[in-house]
Amino acid sequence: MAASFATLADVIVAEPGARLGFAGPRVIEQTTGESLPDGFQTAEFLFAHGLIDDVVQRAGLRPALGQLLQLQHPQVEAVHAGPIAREPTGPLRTGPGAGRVLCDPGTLPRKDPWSSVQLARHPDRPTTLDYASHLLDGFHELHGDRMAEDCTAVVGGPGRLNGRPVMLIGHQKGGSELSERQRRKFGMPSPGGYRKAARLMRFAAKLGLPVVTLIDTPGAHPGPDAERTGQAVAIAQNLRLMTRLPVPIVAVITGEGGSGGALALGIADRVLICLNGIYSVISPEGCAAILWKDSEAAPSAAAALRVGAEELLSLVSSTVSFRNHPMARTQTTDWPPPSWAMR
Amino acid sequence: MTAALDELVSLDPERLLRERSHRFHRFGLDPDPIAGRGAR
Repeated sequence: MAASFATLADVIVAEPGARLGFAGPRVIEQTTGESLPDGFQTAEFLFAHGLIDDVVQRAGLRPALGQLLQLQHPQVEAVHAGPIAREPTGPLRTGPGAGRVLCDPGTLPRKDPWSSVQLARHPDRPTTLDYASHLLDGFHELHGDRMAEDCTAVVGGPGRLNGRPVMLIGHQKGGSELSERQRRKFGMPSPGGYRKAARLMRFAAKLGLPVVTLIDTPGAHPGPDAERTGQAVAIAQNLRLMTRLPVPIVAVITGEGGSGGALALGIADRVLICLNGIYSVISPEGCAAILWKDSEAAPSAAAALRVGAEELLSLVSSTVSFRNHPMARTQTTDWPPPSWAMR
Repeated sequence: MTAALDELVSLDPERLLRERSHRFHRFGLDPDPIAGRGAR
Protein backbone atom coordinates (compact mmCIF):
# COMPACT_ATOMS: atom_id res chain seq x y z
CA MET A 1 0.00 0.00 0.00
CA ALA A 2 1.30 3.44 -0.84
CA ALA A 3 0.65 6.79 0.76
CA SER A 4 4.24 7.78 0.58
CA PHE A 5 6.80 9.69 -1.38
CA ALA A 6 7.48 6.52 -3.37
CA THR A 7 4.68 7.52 -5.73
CA LEU A 8 6.52 10.78 -6.46
CA ALA A 9 9.41 9.01 -8.18
CA ASP A 10 10.39 10.32 -11.60
CA VAL A 11 9.88 6.91 -13.16
CA ILE A 12 7.76 4.12 -11.74
CA VAL A 13 8.10 0.65 -13.21
CA ALA A 14 6.11 -2.34 -12.02
CA GLU A 15 6.36 -6.05 -12.59
CA PRO A 16 3.35 -7.72 -14.19
CA GLY A 17 0.64 -8.40 -11.65
CA ALA A 18 2.23 -6.24 -8.95
CA ARG A 19 -0.25 -4.27 -6.88
CA LEU A 20 -0.10 -0.67 -5.74
CA GLY A 21 -2.73 1.53 -4.18
CA PHE A 22 -3.75 3.68 -1.27
CA ALA A 23 -6.57 1.70 0.31
CA GLY A 24 -6.78 -2.07 -0.07
CA PRO A 25 -9.61 -3.62 -2.11
CA ARG A 26 -11.31 -5.13 0.95
CA VAL A 27 -11.28 -1.80 2.76
CA ILE A 28 -12.74 -0.04 -0.25
CA GLU A 29 -15.46 -2.63 -0.79
CA GLN A 30 -16.45 -2.77 2.88
CA THR A 31 -16.41 0.96 3.47
CA THR A 32 -18.02 2.12 0.24
CA GLY A 33 -20.11 -0.88 -0.73
CA GLU A 34 -18.76 -0.69 -4.24
CA SER A 35 -17.59 -3.75 -6.13
CA LEU A 36 -14.27 -3.26 -7.84
CA PRO A 37 -13.33 -4.07 -11.44
CA ASP A 38 -11.18 -7.07 -12.31
CA GLY A 39 -7.50 -6.33 -11.99
CA PHE A 40 -8.08 -3.31 -9.79
CA GLN A 41 -4.78 -1.83 -8.53
CA THR A 42 -2.67 -4.26 -10.53
CA ALA A 43 0.30 -3.01 -12.52
CA GLU A 44 -1.70 -3.33 -15.73
CA PHE A 45 -4.61 -1.36 -14.27
CA LEU A 46 -2.29 1.37 -13.02
CA PHE A 47 -0.54 1.55 -16.39
CA ALA A 48 -3.83 1.93 -18.21
CA HIS A 49 -4.79 4.75 -15.85
CA GLY A 50 -1.55 6.71 -16.21
CA LEU A 51 -0.19 6.04 -12.74
CA ILE A 52 2.98 4.16 -13.67
CA ASP A 53 5.38 4.40 -16.59
CA ASP A 54 5.83 0.84 -17.62
CA VAL A 55 5.15 -2.81 -16.83
CA VAL A 56 8.36 -4.80 -17.18
CA GLN A 57 9.02 -8.49 -16.68
CA ARG A 58 11.55 -9.15 -13.94
CA ALA A 59 14.10 -10.39 -16.47
CA GLY A 60 13.86 -7.08 -18.30
CA LEU A 61 14.27 -4.84 -15.29
CA ARG A 62 18.05 -4.75 -15.31
CA PRO A 63 18.46 -3.38 -18.86
CA ALA A 64 15.45 -1.08 -18.51
CA LEU A 65 16.70 0.49 -15.30
CA GLY A 66 20.28 0.63 -16.57
CA GLN A 67 19.14 2.53 -19.63
CA LEU A 68 17.26 5.06 -17.54
CA LEU A 69 20.04 5.54 -15.02
CA GLN A 70 22.51 6.38 -17.78
CA LEU A 71 20.57 9.61 -18.26
CA GLN A 72 22.41 11.00 -15.26
CA HIS A 73 25.43 11.48 -17.52
CA PRO A 74 24.02 13.91 -20.05
CA GLN A 75 27.19 14.99 -21.82
CA VAL A 76 28.63 11.62 -22.72
CA GLU A 77 30.02 11.51 -26.24
CA ALA A 78 27.78 14.23 -27.59
CA VAL A 79 28.54 14.93 -31.22
CA HIS A 80 28.96 18.62 -31.92
CA ALA A 81 27.83 19.53 -35.37
CA GLY A 82 28.69 23.21 -35.02
CA PRO A 83 26.40 26.11 -35.76
CA ILE A 84 23.32 25.65 -37.89
CA ALA A 85 24.32 25.19 -41.53
CA ARG A 86 22.61 27.89 -43.56
CA GLU A 87 21.34 26.81 -46.94
CA PRO A 88 22.77 29.06 -49.64
CA THR A 89 20.29 30.94 -51.75
CA GLY A 90 19.28 28.95 -54.80
CA PRO A 91 16.96 26.21 -55.96
CA LEU A 92 15.85 23.66 -53.37
CA ARG A 93 18.16 20.70 -53.32
CA THR A 94 16.29 17.43 -53.39
CA GLY A 95 19.14 15.07 -54.11
CA PRO A 96 21.25 13.02 -51.74
CA GLY A 97 22.45 16.17 -49.98
CA ALA A 98 18.96 17.05 -48.85
CA GLY A 99 17.98 16.79 -45.23
CA ARG A 100 19.35 20.24 -44.50
CA VAL A 101 18.07 23.12 -42.47
CA LEU A 102 16.74 25.80 -44.79
CA CYS A 103 16.54 29.38 -43.59
CA ASP A 104 15.94 31.35 -46.77
CA PRO A 105 12.33 31.43 -48.03
CA GLY A 106 13.71 31.89 -51.54
CA THR A 107 15.06 28.36 -51.51
CA LEU A 108 11.63 26.84 -50.91
CA PRO A 109 9.25 25.82 -53.69
CA ARG A 110 6.09 27.85 -54.07
CA LYS A 111 3.15 25.57 -53.37
CA ASP A 112 -0.56 25.75 -53.44
CA PRO A 113 -1.52 26.18 -49.75
CA TRP A 114 -4.24 23.56 -49.94
CA SER A 115 -1.79 20.97 -51.27
CA SER A 116 0.42 21.79 -48.28
CA VAL A 117 -2.52 21.06 -45.99
CA GLN A 118 -3.19 17.74 -47.70
CA LEU A 119 0.47 16.74 -47.58
CA ALA A 120 0.76 17.67 -43.92
CA ARG A 121 -2.22 15.45 -43.15
CA HIS A 122 -1.16 12.51 -45.27
CA PRO A 123 -1.43 9.32 -43.19
CA ASP A 124 1.85 7.98 -44.56
CA ARG A 125 3.87 10.75 -42.97
CA PRO A 126 6.28 9.59 -40.26
CA THR A 127 4.93 9.68 -36.74
CA THR A 128 6.74 10.69 -33.58
CA LEU A 129 7.44 7.04 -32.77
CA ASP A 130 8.89 6.61 -36.27
CA TYR A 131 11.21 9.55 -35.64
CA ALA A 132 12.09 8.19 -32.22
CA SER A 133 13.10 4.83 -33.61
CA HIS A 134 15.07 6.32 -36.53
CA LEU A 135 16.74 9.27 -34.83
CA LEU A 136 17.30 8.18 -31.26
CA ASP A 137 19.34 5.45 -29.66
CA GLY A 138 17.84 3.81 -26.62
CA PHE A 139 14.51 5.61 -26.75
CA HIS A 140 12.56 4.59 -23.67
CA GLU A 141 8.92 5.57 -23.81
CA LEU A 142 7.44 6.74 -20.52
CA HIS A 143 3.74 6.74 -19.89
CA GLY A 144 1.02 8.39 -17.91
CA ASP A 145 0.04 11.72 -16.43
CA ARG A 146 0.21 10.32 -12.86
CA MET A 147 -3.39 11.43 -12.38
CA ALA A 148 -5.87 9.47 -14.43
CA GLU A 149 -4.79 8.39 -17.89
CA ASP A 150 -2.11 7.61 -20.41
CA CYS A 151 -3.15 9.65 -23.42
CA THR A 152 -2.23 7.73 -26.55
CA ALA A 153 -2.06 10.89 -28.69
CA VAL A 154 1.08 12.13 -26.92
CA VAL A 155 4.19 10.00 -26.57
CA GLY A 156 7.53 10.76 -25.06
CA GLY A 157 10.60 9.61 -23.28
CA PRO A 158 14.36 9.93 -23.11
CA GLY A 159 16.79 8.75 -25.73
CA ARG A 160 20.12 9.71 -27.26
CA LEU A 161 20.35 11.95 -30.29
CA ASN A 162 23.85 11.66 -31.74
CA GLY A 163 25.00 10.55 -28.33
CA ARG A 164 23.33 13.39 -26.43
CA PRO A 165 20.51 12.43 -24.06
CA VAL A 166 17.34 14.34 -24.87
CA MET A 167 13.71 14.17 -23.84
CA LEU A 168 11.59 13.61 -26.94
CA ILE A 169 7.89 14.47 -26.70
CA GLY A 170 5.44 14.52 -29.56
CA HIS A 171 1.96 14.04 -30.87
CA GLN A 172 1.23 10.57 -32.20
CA LYS A 173 -1.31 10.40 -34.99
CA GLY A 174 -1.12 6.69 -35.64
CA GLY A 175 0.15 6.31 -39.19
CA SER A 176 -1.52 4.60 -42.10
CA GLU A 177 -3.66 2.03 -40.23
CA LEU A 178 -7.14 3.32 -39.42
CA SER A 179 -7.43 1.27 -36.24
CA GLU A 180 -4.16 2.71 -34.95
CA ARG A 181 -5.21 6.23 -35.86
CA GLN A 182 -8.44 5.68 -33.92
CA ARG A 183 -6.49 4.31 -30.95
CA ARG A 184 -4.30 7.41 -31.09
CA LYS A 185 -7.36 9.68 -31.28
CA PHE A 186 -6.03 10.96 -34.62
CA GLY A 187 -3.31 12.79 -32.72
CA MET A 188 -5.73 14.96 -30.75
CA PRO A 189 -4.55 14.87 -27.14
CA SER A 190 -6.69 14.88 -24.07
CA PRO A 191 -5.63 16.99 -21.07
CA GLY A 192 -3.82 13.92 -19.78
CA GLY A 193 -1.59 14.04 -22.85
CA TYR A 194 -0.49 17.56 -22.07
CA ARG A 195 -0.01 16.68 -18.42
CA LYS A 196 2.15 13.74 -19.45
CA ALA A 197 4.19 16.09 -21.64
CA ALA A 198 4.57 18.53 -18.74
CA ARG A 199 5.69 15.75 -16.44
CA LEU A 200 8.36 14.70 -18.92
CA MET A 201 9.52 18.29 -19.37
CA ARG A 202 9.93 18.73 -15.63
CA PHE A 203 11.84 15.45 -15.54
CA ALA A 204 14.09 16.71 -18.34
CA ALA A 205 14.74 19.95 -16.47
CA LYS A 206 15.63 18.00 -13.35
CA LEU A 207 18.25 16.02 -15.28
CA GLY A 208 19.37 18.94 -17.44
CA LEU A 209 18.27 17.26 -20.66
CA PRO A 210 17.30 19.31 -23.72
CA VAL A 211 13.70 18.86 -24.80
CA VAL A 212 12.74 18.10 -28.40
CA THR A 213 9.07 18.30 -29.27
CA LEU A 214 7.58 16.96 -32.49
CA ILE A 215 4.30 18.60 -33.41
CA ASP A 216 1.72 16.84 -35.56
CA THR A 217 -1.86 17.38 -34.49
CA PRO A 218 -5.09 18.74 -35.92
CA GLY A 219 -5.60 20.27 -32.47
CA ALA A 220 -6.42 19.32 -28.92
CA HIS A 221 -9.29 16.87 -28.53
CA PRO A 222 -12.53 18.83 -28.68
CA GLY A 223 -14.78 16.37 -26.83
CA PRO A 224 -16.80 16.91 -23.67
CA ASP A 225 -14.54 14.66 -21.61
CA ALA A 226 -11.57 16.85 -22.51
CA GLU A 227 -13.50 19.92 -21.41
CA ARG A 228 -14.57 18.24 -18.20
CA THR A 229 -11.01 17.27 -17.30
CA GLY A 230 -9.46 20.65 -17.96
CA GLN A 231 -8.23 20.90 -21.54
CA ALA A 232 -7.72 24.65 -21.39
CA VAL A 233 -5.99 24.44 -18.02
CA ALA A 234 -3.61 21.73 -19.18
CA ILE A 235 -2.61 23.66 -22.31
CA ALA A 236 -2.15 26.90 -20.38
CA GLN A 237 0.01 25.16 -17.83
CA ASN A 238 2.23 23.81 -20.58
CA LEU A 239 2.59 27.26 -22.14
CA ARG A 240 3.65 28.66 -18.80
CA LEU A 241 6.00 25.78 -18.05
CA MET A 242 7.75 26.04 -21.41
CA THR A 243 8.32 29.78 -21.16
CA ARG A 244 10.61 29.22 -18.20
CA LEU A 245 11.88 25.65 -18.53
CA PRO A 246 15.60 25.97 -17.78
CA VAL A 247 16.81 23.64 -20.53
CA PRO A 248 16.97 24.11 -24.30
CA ILE A 249 13.77 23.36 -26.19
CA VAL A 250 13.65 22.63 -29.92
CA ALA A 251 10.20 22.24 -31.47
CA VAL A 252 9.76 20.65 -34.89
CA ILE A 253 6.46 20.81 -36.73
CA THR A 254 6.66 17.48 -38.52
CA GLY A 255 3.19 17.55 -40.06
CA GLU A 256 0.15 19.44 -38.92
CA GLY A 257 0.56 22.15 -36.31
CA GLY A 258 -3.00 22.87 -35.34
CA SER A 259 -4.10 25.54 -32.89
CA GLY A 260 -3.63 25.31 -29.13
CA GLY A 261 -3.04 21.60 -29.39
CA ALA A 262 0.18 22.38 -31.21
CA LEU A 263 1.11 25.42 -29.14
CA ALA A 264 1.10 23.34 -25.98
CA LEU A 265 4.29 21.70 -27.29
CA GLY A 266 5.46 24.67 -29.33
CA ILE A 267 7.07 27.20 -26.99
CA ALA A 268 10.72 26.72 -27.82
CA ASP A 269 14.12 28.29 -28.31
CA ARG A 270 14.19 27.08 -31.90
CA VAL A 271 11.12 26.25 -33.96
CA LEU A 272 11.66 24.18 -37.09
CA ILE A 273 9.10 22.99 -39.61
CA CYS A 274 9.35 20.17 -42.12
CA LEU A 275 9.09 21.16 -45.73
CA ASN A 276 5.53 19.93 -46.08
CA GLY A 277 4.37 20.90 -42.62
CA ILE A 278 1.75 23.51 -41.78
CA TYR A 279 1.21 25.63 -38.66
CA SER A 280 -1.95 27.57 -38.04
CA VAL A 281 -4.12 29.05 -35.35
CA ILE A 282 -7.14 27.21 -36.73
CA SER A 283 -7.85 24.53 -39.30
CA PRO A 284 -8.71 25.87 -42.76
CA GLU A 285 -12.09 24.17 -42.44
CA GLY A 286 -12.76 25.88 -39.13
CA CYS A 287 -11.61 29.22 -40.47
CA ALA A 288 -13.84 28.85 -43.52
CA ALA A 289 -16.81 27.98 -41.35
CA ILE A 290 -16.29 31.14 -39.28
CA LEU A 291 -15.51 33.54 -42.11
CA TRP A 292 -17.78 32.26 -44.83
CA LYS A 293 -20.05 29.79 -43.04
CA ASP A 294 -18.88 27.22 -45.56
CA SER A 295 -16.25 24.61 -44.76
CA GLU A 296 -16.00 23.89 -48.49
CA ALA A 297 -14.10 27.16 -48.74
CA ALA A 298 -11.21 25.57 -46.83
CA PRO A 299 -8.71 25.92 -49.73
CA SER A 300 -9.35 29.67 -49.78
CA ALA A 301 -8.96 29.78 -46.03
CA ALA A 302 -5.67 27.88 -46.26
CA ALA A 303 -4.36 30.54 -48.62
CA ALA A 304 -5.54 33.34 -46.35
CA LEU A 305 -4.02 31.73 -43.26
CA ARG A 306 -0.59 31.34 -44.95
CA VAL A 307 -0.09 27.96 -43.32
CA GLY A 308 2.84 26.60 -45.33
CA ALA A 309 6.52 26.37 -44.49
CA GLU A 310 7.63 29.02 -46.93
CA GLU A 311 5.08 31.47 -45.54
CA LEU A 312 6.08 30.76 -41.97
CA LEU A 313 9.79 31.33 -42.23
CA SER A 314 9.32 34.84 -40.90
CA LEU A 315 7.90 33.32 -37.73
CA VAL A 316 9.63 29.98 -37.25
CA SER A 317 13.38 29.55 -37.07
CA SER A 318 13.92 27.42 -40.13
CA THR A 319 12.67 24.62 -42.30
CA VAL A 320 13.86 21.05 -42.37
CA SER A 321 13.83 19.18 -45.64
CA PHE A 322 13.61 15.45 -45.20
CA ARG A 323 12.95 14.91 -48.88
CA ASN A 324 15.18 12.09 -50.14
CA HIS A 325 16.72 11.96 -46.70
CA PRO A 326 16.95 8.56 -44.98
CA MET A 327 14.47 9.95 -42.45
CA ALA A 328 11.92 10.30 -45.24
CA ARG A 329 10.57 6.97 -44.00
CA THR A 330 11.10 3.64 -45.60
CA GLN A 331 7.73 3.45 -47.30
CA THR A 332 8.00 6.97 -48.67
CA THR A 333 11.32 6.96 -50.44
CA ASP A 334 9.58 8.80 -53.23
CA TRP A 335 7.84 11.11 -50.78
CA PRO A 336 5.79 12.99 -51.72
CA PRO A 337 4.30 10.42 -54.10
CA PRO A 338 3.85 11.47 -57.71
CA SER A 339 0.09 11.70 -57.21
CA TRP A 340 0.75 14.48 -54.70
CA ALA A 341 2.89 16.47 -57.08
CA MET A 342 3.14 20.05 -55.98
CA ARG A 343 1.36 22.50 -58.17
CA MET B 1 17.72 19.51 -35.08
CA THR B 2 21.08 18.31 -33.84
CA ALA B 3 22.76 21.54 -34.88
CA ALA B 4 20.12 23.59 -33.08
CA LEU B 5 20.66 21.57 -29.92
CA ASP B 6 24.42 21.92 -30.17
CA GLU B 7 24.02 25.66 -30.37
CA LEU B 8 21.56 25.85 -27.48
CA VAL B 9 23.29 23.59 -24.99
CA SER B 10 26.34 25.82 -25.14
CA LEU B 11 24.31 28.67 -23.60
CA ASP B 12 24.09 29.01 -19.86
CA PRO B 13 20.53 28.61 -18.51
CA GLU B 14 20.13 32.28 -17.62
CA ARG B 15 21.06 33.39 -21.11
CA LEU B 16 18.84 30.71 -22.59
CA LEU B 17 15.83 32.00 -20.66
CA ARG B 18 16.71 35.61 -21.42
CA GLU B 19 16.80 34.90 -25.12
CA ARG B 20 13.58 32.91 -24.93
CA SER B 21 11.93 35.86 -23.20
CA HIS B 22 13.28 38.12 -25.92
CA ARG B 23 11.39 36.10 -28.51
CA PHE B 24 8.20 36.94 -26.66
CA HIS B 25 9.14 40.59 -26.38
CA ARG B 26 9.49 40.76 -30.15
CA PHE B 27 5.76 40.19 -30.31
CA GLY B 28 4.97 42.53 -27.46
CA LEU B 29 4.60 39.74 -24.91
CA ASP B 30 6.36 39.28 -21.61
CA PRO B 31 6.32 35.76 -20.17
CA ASP B 32 7.50 36.84 -16.75
CA PRO B 33 4.15 38.13 -15.48
CA ILE B 34 2.66 34.82 -16.53
CA ALA B 35 5.33 32.51 -15.23
CA GLY B 36 6.52 34.60 -12.33
CA ARG B 37 9.96 36.12 -12.54
CA GLY B 38 12.54 33.43 -11.93
CA ALA B 39 9.88 30.72 -11.82
CA ARG B 40 10.96 27.26 -12.75
